[in-house]
Amino acid sequence: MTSSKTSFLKRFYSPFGLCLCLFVVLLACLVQGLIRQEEVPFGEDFLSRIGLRSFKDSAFMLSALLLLLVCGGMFCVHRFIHRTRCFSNLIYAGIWLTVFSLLAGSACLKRYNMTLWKGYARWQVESPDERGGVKELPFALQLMDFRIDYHAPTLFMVDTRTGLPLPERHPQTLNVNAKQVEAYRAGKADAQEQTILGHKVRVLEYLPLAAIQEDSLGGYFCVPAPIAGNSPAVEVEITDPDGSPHREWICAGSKIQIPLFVRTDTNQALCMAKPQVKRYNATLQVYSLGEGRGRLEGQSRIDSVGANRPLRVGRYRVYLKSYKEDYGFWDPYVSFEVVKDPLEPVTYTGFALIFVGLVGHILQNSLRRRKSAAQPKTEQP
Amino acid sequence: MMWKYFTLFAILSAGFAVLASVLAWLGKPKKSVLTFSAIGAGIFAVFILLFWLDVQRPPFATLGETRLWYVFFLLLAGILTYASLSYRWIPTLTTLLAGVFMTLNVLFPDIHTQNLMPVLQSVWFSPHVISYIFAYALLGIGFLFSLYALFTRNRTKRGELVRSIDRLTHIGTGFLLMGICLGALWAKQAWGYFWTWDPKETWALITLLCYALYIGLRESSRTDLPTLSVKFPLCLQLAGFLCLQICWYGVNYLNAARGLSVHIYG
Repeated sequence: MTSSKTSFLKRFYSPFGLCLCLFVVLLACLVQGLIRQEEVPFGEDFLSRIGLRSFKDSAFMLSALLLLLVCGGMFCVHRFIHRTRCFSNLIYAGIWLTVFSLLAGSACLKRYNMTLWKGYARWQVESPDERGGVKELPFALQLMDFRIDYHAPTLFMVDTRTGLPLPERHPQTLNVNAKQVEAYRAGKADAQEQTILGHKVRVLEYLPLAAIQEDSLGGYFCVPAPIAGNSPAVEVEITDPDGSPHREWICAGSKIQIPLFVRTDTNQALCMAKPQVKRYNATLQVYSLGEGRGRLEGQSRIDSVGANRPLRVGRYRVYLKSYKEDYGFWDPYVSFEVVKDPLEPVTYTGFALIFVGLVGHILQNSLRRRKSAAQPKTEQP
Repeated sequence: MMWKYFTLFAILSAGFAVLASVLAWLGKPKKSVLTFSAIGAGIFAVFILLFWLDVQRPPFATLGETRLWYVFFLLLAGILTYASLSYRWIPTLTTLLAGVFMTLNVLFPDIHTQNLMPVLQSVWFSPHVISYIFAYALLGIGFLFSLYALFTRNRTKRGELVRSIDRLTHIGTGFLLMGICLGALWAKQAWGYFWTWDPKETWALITLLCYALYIGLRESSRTDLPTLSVKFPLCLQLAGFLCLQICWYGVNYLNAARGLSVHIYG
């Protein structure tokens, strides 16, 4: 190879060459970061017409990433040859492997949707895109149980004209303490108490799932009713600034239930925020299918899926995708996503290299610094 | 409940930090400056610990809670850099930056509940946020140094500062990269994706690329581009810090991201 060719190639694996590649990728990312990336009906928007609203799939983005892979790969090889005892090489190699596997993985990653309801087994999944159609899995899933637990609710005062919590910039809230309410009911502690905008509020009872009933005087009260979709309710004693106490039920409401709130003023009401999900869990029976599709003749096991806990079945992973928490019995369907990512181990290897490289690099540098500090300084002439 | 004492802790902590800054300007011994700075940071750490115990969950869920950690790491990084470099303006600048974020927390407090949504109940949550915020603090100090280095006329001082900026950027970028990797691992476990080009993810990558470019250009100036002025990489530090702010909380206000990101603080 002639020297001119060598110097030309050197530009690609030199730090400056890599910087140019990084700059091109940075430009592409800036376009993505500054222009809203969403589908707009074709022809309605100029930016969408020139492809800037779906930039991650554009030729420019793909070319920039490929250029980074080529130059980054050459840079890594060059460093491994010329700087053998350097932990930072592992970081570069890890980044390269991760970018490569994510790029290649996006092409071969398969995602399917699966909808289940209690008691039925399914092995067909639908592809999210229109052309994908239905696919049969080598295993079947049966939904045995689905459960959602909620955090204890929060009470706050709202402006009934705007619906905003009060005071506007520093809303006062009362987080119901389920343990304290339980202790109060057992006579072991005082009732939870807090003043919100001059109204003293005491929490007397907390029902995680309640049904609303009407009394003979036209008032409402709540009773325990552990049915999915029901809302939590609390009974409170409110003492107004003029000193008169009164007992009321407050309920957040749901798609199958009306909310209950207490008007404390013409423009103020004490309300309950929509309860927040604490955890959700689906229990599944997994059947591995035999040769005859649709016959549950293989082995079976019971397992569960929840947030941050996907279920692994062979080379597939099953994720809990969506649930309609407050529709209750009106919508018993639970959606799952089945993912097959053949390059997953490669990406994990990339991450492992990055972590080892980072730790090694920091240790190596501090060791080097200590050594150079220990060496006696030679005096300058 | 603990949050109502935040202003008191913030004033105490800022008071000691200001005292340390004044002592540094008066040329008092390094030990006394470091002691008062450490007391300021310690008071803030005590508040974080008590607040953690009060909310019964890792305090990283809201923007205000991440600001708490940022202030603490900023004070800590200020102490470490002052201990190694001894420039008397370091405590002042770190105190000023920390003071801005403390004031934001006093003026715009979040609603703090013990509730944590299911996806945040993960082993990746704390290490992911801590490595990000630690990186933000180190790169924040790097930004302050870069500002000083850009405007100082003393070449020797600038050279020393740039070496410190290099070190801060190397470690900060390392932690930023670690934060991104931990986030990707968590996303895979939660949603089945490593990367989705969510606006917050895109801005995290932009920030990383800015600092990677800085490191690359500094490396180039040592090897294949010796004539490159140091001012250009220093300007990249400023751009990197701006991107970092957009990545941290700016995406909440960016029109390109509104309603599209699943990572935005509520």
